[in-house]
Amino acid sequence: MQKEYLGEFEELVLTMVGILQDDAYGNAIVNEIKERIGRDVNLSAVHVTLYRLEDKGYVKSGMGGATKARGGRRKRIFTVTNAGLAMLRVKKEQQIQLWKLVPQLKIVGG
Amino acid sequence: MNNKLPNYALRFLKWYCPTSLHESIEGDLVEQFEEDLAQVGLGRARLNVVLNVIRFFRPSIILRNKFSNSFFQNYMFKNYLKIAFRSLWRAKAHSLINVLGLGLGIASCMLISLYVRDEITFDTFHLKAERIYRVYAKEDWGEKQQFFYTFTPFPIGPALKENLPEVESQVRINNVDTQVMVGENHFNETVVLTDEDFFKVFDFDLIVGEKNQALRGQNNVVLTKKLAEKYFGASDPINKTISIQLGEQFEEFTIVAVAANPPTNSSIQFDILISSLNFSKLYGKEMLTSSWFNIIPETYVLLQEGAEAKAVEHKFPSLFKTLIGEEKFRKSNYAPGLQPLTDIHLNTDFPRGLAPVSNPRYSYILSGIALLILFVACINFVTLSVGRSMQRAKEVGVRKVVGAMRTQLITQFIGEAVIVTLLALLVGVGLLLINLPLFNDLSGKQLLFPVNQFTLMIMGLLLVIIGLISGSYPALVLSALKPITILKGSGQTGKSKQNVRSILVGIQLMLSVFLISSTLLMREQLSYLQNKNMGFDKAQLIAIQLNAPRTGGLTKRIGIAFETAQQFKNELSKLPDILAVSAASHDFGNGGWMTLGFTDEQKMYRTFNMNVVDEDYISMLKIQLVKGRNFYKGNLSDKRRAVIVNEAFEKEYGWADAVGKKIPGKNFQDHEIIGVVKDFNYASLYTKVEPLVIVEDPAMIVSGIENFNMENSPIPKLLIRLKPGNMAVTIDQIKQLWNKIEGEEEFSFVFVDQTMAKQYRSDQNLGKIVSIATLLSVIIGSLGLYALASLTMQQRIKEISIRKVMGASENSLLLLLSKEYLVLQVFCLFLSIPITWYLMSNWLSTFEYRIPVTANAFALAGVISLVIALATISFQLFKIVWTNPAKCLKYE
Repeated sequence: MQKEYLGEFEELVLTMVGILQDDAYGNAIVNEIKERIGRDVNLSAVHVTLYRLEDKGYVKSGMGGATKARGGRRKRIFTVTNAGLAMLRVKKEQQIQLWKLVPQLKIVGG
Repeated sequence: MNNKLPNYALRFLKWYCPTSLHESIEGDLVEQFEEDLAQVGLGRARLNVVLNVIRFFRPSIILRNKFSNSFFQNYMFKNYLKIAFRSLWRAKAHSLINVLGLGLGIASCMLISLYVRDEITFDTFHLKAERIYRVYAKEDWGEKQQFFYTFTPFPIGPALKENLPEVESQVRINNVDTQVMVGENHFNETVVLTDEDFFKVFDFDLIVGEKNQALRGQNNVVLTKKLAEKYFGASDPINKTISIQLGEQFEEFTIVAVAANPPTNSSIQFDILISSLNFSKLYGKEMLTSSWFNIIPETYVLLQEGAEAKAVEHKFPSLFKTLIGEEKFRKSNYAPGLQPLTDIHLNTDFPRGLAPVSNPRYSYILSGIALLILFVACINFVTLSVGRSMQRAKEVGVRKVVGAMRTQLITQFIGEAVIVTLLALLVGVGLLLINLPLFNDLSGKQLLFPVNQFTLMIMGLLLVIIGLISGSYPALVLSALKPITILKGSGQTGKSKQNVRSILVGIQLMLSVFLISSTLLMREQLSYLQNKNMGFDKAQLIAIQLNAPRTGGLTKRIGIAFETAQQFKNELSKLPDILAVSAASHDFGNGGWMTLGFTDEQKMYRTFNMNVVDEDYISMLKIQLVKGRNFYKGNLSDKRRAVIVNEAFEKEYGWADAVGKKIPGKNFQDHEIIGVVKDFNYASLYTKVEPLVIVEDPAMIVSGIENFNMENSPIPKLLIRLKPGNMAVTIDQIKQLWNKIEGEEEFSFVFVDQTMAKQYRSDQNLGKIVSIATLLSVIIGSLGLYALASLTMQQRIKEISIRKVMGASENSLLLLLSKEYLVLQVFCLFLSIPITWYLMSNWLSTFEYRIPVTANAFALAGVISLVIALATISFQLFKIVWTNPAKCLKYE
C-alpha cells in the first residue's frame, strides 16, 4: 500500500476526534474547532473529511444515541483507530524533528 | 419546534443524500439550527440551514453510496483497464473495424458540425448584430405585379434615419463593377460605395487607419489587405493614390485605410470601399432623392438599443404615405420591412441580395448523412460486442461468482466502449485534419479545426453519446448472463439476442440500400443536367465581356458596345480557327436575363425575358427556328423593327402562329414578330423556359415596358465558337486583338459550358458528398457484416459439421447459411424504397427539368447491395462449408 498522506485539515479533524473521545460527531467537532483555535469551519467540510478519514482507515464510526435537541435524530460518533493514532503520532514526531532544525531566533517586538 | 425549520431544504437534502448518511447530517443541521436560534435569531438560523444543505450538495456526499468502497474500486479499475486492452488486443480485427468505423463516423460528425456551426453563426460576429436589420422593398400593384426585393431605393435609408428616432444609423451598400487603374495597370474590380457609418455599424477590422475617418472624404478609399497586396506588394499603401472609373471619368482616390479581409462567414463582402458621396457621379439626382421605385443598393439600419423591429415597421406605412404621396402609396401597396442581419444567410423566403442565400436544407442533409455514418458504425460495435459475448461469458461468470455486482459489470463494459470510442476519436481527429481541405473544396467554405470550447465540447459529447449508445446494449446483455449456466458449460444463445442482431444488421442494410439508390438517382440527374440538349450548341464556345461606357441610356450603351463588337467580328473573321462570332447582351450561366414587364391590351400584366443580339446570333448558336425567318443580314429595317420570340412566348399568348403579330402592348414602337425559335434553355434547368424576345435593337421594346429587372449586366458579350484543336493559340490571338482594340483593359474570357455547369455546383457537390458517404457507410457496414458473419459461422460450425456428416450437400449448406441474409436483404430493400422515394422526389422537385424516379434505380441498388453483402459473407461461408467435419467434431 502506498504511503498515505494526511492533509492539514484532515489532521485537525482527526485530532479533534481524538480530543472529543465519545462525543466526536460533526457538529461537536465544528464547535470544538471554533472554541479551541477560533477557526470557522463548514459543517459539510467536516463531514466530508470525516468520511474521507474513515475511507483511509484512521477513524471508524457508529450510530450513537438520540437526543432531544436533534429532534430525535441519532448522531454518527467517530472514534480514532489505532492506525489514526499512529498517524497522529508520526505527524507530531515529524513536526518536532523539523522544528528542531529551525534556527531559534529571537522574535523582536513580540 | 421543527416547524421553524426550512422543510424544503431538508427535503432536498433527503432527496440527494445517501440514506446511510442522511440521519446524522440532518441531526447535525437541526442541532446547529437550535444553537443559532438562541444566538442569532430565526432568519439567520434558517439561512444557515439552507446554505449548509447547499454546501452538502457535493459529489463526495451524493455519490458516496454509489462507490461505497473506493479502495476496491480503484484496484478493480486497473483490472478493468487491463482486461479491456487485452480483449481489444485479442480480437485485433474486430477492434480495428470498430475503431476505424467509429473514427470515420466521428470524423464526419465533427466535419458536419463545423459546417453547420459556420452556417448558423453567419454574420453573428458583428457586436451589434442583434440590432442590425436589412431593409427590404415590397410592392403589390395587383394582378401579377408583386415585387419583393432585398435591394432598396436610394432615398429609403436616409429617410428612415431622419424620420424615425429608433434608427441610429443607416448604411447603404452599392456594388459597382468598374475599372481600377494603379499606375499603368488596369484591373476589373467590384467597388463598394457605402455610407460613412459602415465601420460604426459593422465590425470589420481596420489594420491601418481610423474607423470614423475612413469613409468621411469623397476621395478616400479603403482597400482590403488582399487588394493592397495585389496592387502594392509589400510596400505601404497608405496615402498612395489609385484611379477608379466612375461614370465615364477616372477619379483619383487616396488610400486612407487598409481593412482586414472580411471573414468568410459574412454576407457583406468587399474589396474596395469608397464613400457614398460618390453616388452622384453614377446616378441622377432624382434617383438619389425621390425615386421610390427604383431599387439599387442594399440598405442596412442599426436600431437604437431596446428598439423593437416590429414597432419600427409599424411606423412605416404612415411615413411612406407622406414621403411618396397618398395615391402612389395606395396603388403600389408600398410595404418595406426589416430583415434581421443574422437571418440573411439562411432564410430562403427572402430573395437574394448581394450575397447568395444558403439553403438550410444542405445543413439538414449533411447532418443526416453524418449521423447515418455514425449510426452504422455504432451498429457495428453493438453487433460485434454482442456477437463476441460468448467468448467473454466465462469472464463474466467468474467475476459474478467472485462477487461482482451487475452495476460493476455494466460500468466495466460501458467503460470498454468508451475506451474504443476514445481511440476512435483520435483516429477521427486525424481523418478530419486530413480531409478538411477536401471538404472545404466541396462545400465552398474555409473551415478550420481549432482547439476551442466548441470543438472540445463536440468531442466530449460524441465520446459520451457513442460510448453510452454502443456500450449500453452489450453491457446489459453481458451482465445479465447467469453464472451457473455459463460455468456449467452449456452454451447460451438467446433467441432475442439473435433478433436484435438481425434488426440491427437489417437497419444497416436498409441504410446502405437507401444511400446506394440515392446516389444512383443523383448521379443520373446530374449527368442529365450536363448532357441535356439545351436547344443550342454550347461546345467550344467562349464568352468575352465587352466594355461600354457606364453612363447614358441603356440603349445607347448597348449600341456603343455593339459597335465595338462589330470591330471585333471584322477582325476575328480573318482568323482561321474561329468558326463563328456573335454578340449578345446576355451569355449563359450568369443568372437570369433581363426581365421586362408591361400591361397588355386586356389589362393583364405580362413579363418576358429579352436578349439584344446581332444578326448572326441564332445561326451561330444553332438555335432551331420553327416558324418564320431569321434576321436578314445588314437589313436596317429588320434591325429597327424585327422581333423573334420563342415558343414559350407564343404559348403564353395562346397564339397558333406568332409570325406577323405584335407584342400586345400599347406603347411599344412599331415592330413585328418575324420568327419563332424552339425553346432553348438559356437559364438553368432549375427553372422552366420563360417567354423570350430576341431583338437587334432594344429601343422599340424599351419604350413600351413598365418594369425592368436584371440580375446581370446587359452590356454585350462576344460569343466566339472555336475550332477544336489548338485552342490555346487561338485564344492568344484573340487576346492580341483585344489589346489592339481595347488597349489597356483587362482581357478575360470564360467557356460557356463551364459557366453553365457552375450553376449546378452546389448540387454536384452534394452529389459528391452523398457518394462519399455511401462509399463510407457501405464499407463500414460490410466490415461489420464480415466480422459478424465470421462470429455466427463459428457458432454454427458444429451444426454444419454434423449436417455434412449426415450427408448434406455443399449447395444446400450454402443456401441454408445465406438464406437468413437473403431474406433480410430483400425485406430491407422494400423498406428503404418509400424513404428513398420521398427524399429523392423532394430533391428532384427543385429542378424544372428532371429524370423520373424509376424502379430501375431501386432494383440496381438492391442488386448492388446484395452482391456486396454476399461477397462479404461468402468468404466465411465457403470457409465453413469446406471445413473437414472430422476436425471440428473429434474433440467432442
